[in-house]
Amino acid sequence: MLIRLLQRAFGIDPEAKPLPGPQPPDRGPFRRDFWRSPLRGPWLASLLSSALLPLILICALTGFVSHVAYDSELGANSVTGDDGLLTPIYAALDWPAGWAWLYAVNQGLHVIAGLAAIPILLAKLWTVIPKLWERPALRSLAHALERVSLALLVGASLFVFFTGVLNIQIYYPFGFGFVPAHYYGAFIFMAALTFHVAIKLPDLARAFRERGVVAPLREDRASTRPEPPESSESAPTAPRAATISRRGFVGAVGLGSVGLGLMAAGQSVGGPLRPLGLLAPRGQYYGTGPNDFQVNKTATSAGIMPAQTGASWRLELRGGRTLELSREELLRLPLSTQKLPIACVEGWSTTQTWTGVPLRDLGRLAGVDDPDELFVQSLQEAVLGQTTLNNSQASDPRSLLALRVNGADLSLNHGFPARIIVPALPGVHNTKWVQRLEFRGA
Amino acid sequence: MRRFSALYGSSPAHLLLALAALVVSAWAVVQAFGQGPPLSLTKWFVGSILAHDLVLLPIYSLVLIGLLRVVGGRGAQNRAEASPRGLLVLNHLRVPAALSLLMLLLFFPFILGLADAGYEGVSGLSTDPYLPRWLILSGALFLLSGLILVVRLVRGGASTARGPSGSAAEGPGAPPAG
Repeated sequence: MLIRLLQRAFGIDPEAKPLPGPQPPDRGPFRRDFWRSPLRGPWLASLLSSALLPLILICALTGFVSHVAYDSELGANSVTGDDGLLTPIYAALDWPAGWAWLYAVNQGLHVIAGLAAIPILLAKLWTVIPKLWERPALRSLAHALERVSLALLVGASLFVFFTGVLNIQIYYPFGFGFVPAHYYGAFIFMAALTFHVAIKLPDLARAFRERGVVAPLREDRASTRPEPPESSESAPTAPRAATISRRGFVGAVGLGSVGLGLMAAGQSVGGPLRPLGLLAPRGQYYGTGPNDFQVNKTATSAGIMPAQTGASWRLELRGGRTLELSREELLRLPLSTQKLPIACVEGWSTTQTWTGVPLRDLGRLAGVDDPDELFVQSLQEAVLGQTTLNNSQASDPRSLLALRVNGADLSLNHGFPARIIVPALPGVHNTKWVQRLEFRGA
Repeated sequence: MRRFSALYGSSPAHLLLALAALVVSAWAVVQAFGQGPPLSLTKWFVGSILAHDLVLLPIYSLVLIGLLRVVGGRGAQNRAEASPRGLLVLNHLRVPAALSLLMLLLFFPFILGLADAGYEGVSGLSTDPYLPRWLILSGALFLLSGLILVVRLVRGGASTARGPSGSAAEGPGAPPAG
């Protein structure tokens, strides 16, 4: 069986020579009898891990998919710098404009799973904390490597989660860029986690076999018994009586997890569910007007001057030929109306009805029928004031240069005089206050 | 094989997988440091472990001891002597307290008004509503917990022979809307 194979491959040999060197003192938290809670033990750790792992895997998968969605090989799209060894992989994957809600669902799941995982992660760390203080500190070289990888696992998981939580609140007390730190922290997390799962899976199987998977949840507080101390270093040697049953503990953790997940879901699905996002960053209402929906980057903070967007604004088209169009001229072209979401990397979305000129019509006007790429320049002079769209995105009939939303002219905060809106495109690439479109290739 | 295991402490597969994990981690660190700044990244990575293991975790225990003294009264020094009733009250206090503090821990930039500048520039809205929202959510959690506690005390659910005595009766489900 797989478990036996893993046990033989990754089990620690009890006969191995202990490493030389000083040992921690036999005092305080280094003593096993310091840790009194009778709830700790391999069963609780295994149960929490069984709930935590799927959520982490969803986060990891959606996180990497998000990186693919940014099409960082195009133009200035990258926000993590050079992808190094992974560049060929990302270059080969072009984000399609197929299902319009793909990015919204992906990022929604990322933040929902991420927030829901946090109470379980904290509970898991509480359960195994006696192992931080175990004696002897280094039983063998293999044991030492396991402890190093655990340091990486705990550090990376805390780092990735807290940077994520602070990022969605637009709060950056740290002096480094969020995106590369969160992204590369996830690699350390996944590497250390893979090793951890491989060496711990036999212990999880044994814990469930010996105590059952849900059987301990049937015990009430008075009948809560500690796990035997020989089952794991996290099990107590001198437990006190339980102050809460295991199911009370797990229930409280589950309540926190479900609550956070629902809050994140509220801001992701939006519409009638938005009030669920009580503490979620995008759980507030703007109003009932056509432009009253979630803003991402106000005109003032983007440094847009009203004079730039007034009557003198022209859309510059480049391609086979160069031409300029005023807003009135754009409005006289055949317009299309599409219902499309803005889906932010921070896990919230909002779906609205947009009216504008299809991008591929503008491409034809500029003399490029089937562009390889479309470069978009905003009036906003910032790192993300430009976007490069791929072929699928530029030629999709639903991709628009939007002029109106929900029947009214775009507000300044929503990108007046014109913005890009493309199915499944990450929110930040739906460039606002568009100044220039360059159709390249074909 | 046995000699390798006696020297190393496990099989070659263990060593290979450990090294693979370390190599991937080293690559990620190099890539991240390339985006910089390395000192800040290291400080926050290590700091998060220290802050959690050496600050947050001890706080859980200290709060529990404090609550036990308040609720258990005399004899609560030895937690085994706290009465079943006292423990029921304790749990109906500490579960909503823990959830409320968890929300504060996660959303403190909004609740304490620290993220106003960034958030306003991005969304056009203020973070002011978040403090009242958190207070209302916390209040609702305590209220719900209190109601369930009253029901259980009235039903005599504190006796060891009958029914659940943890907070699982609250069950998973949507939190009360603020």
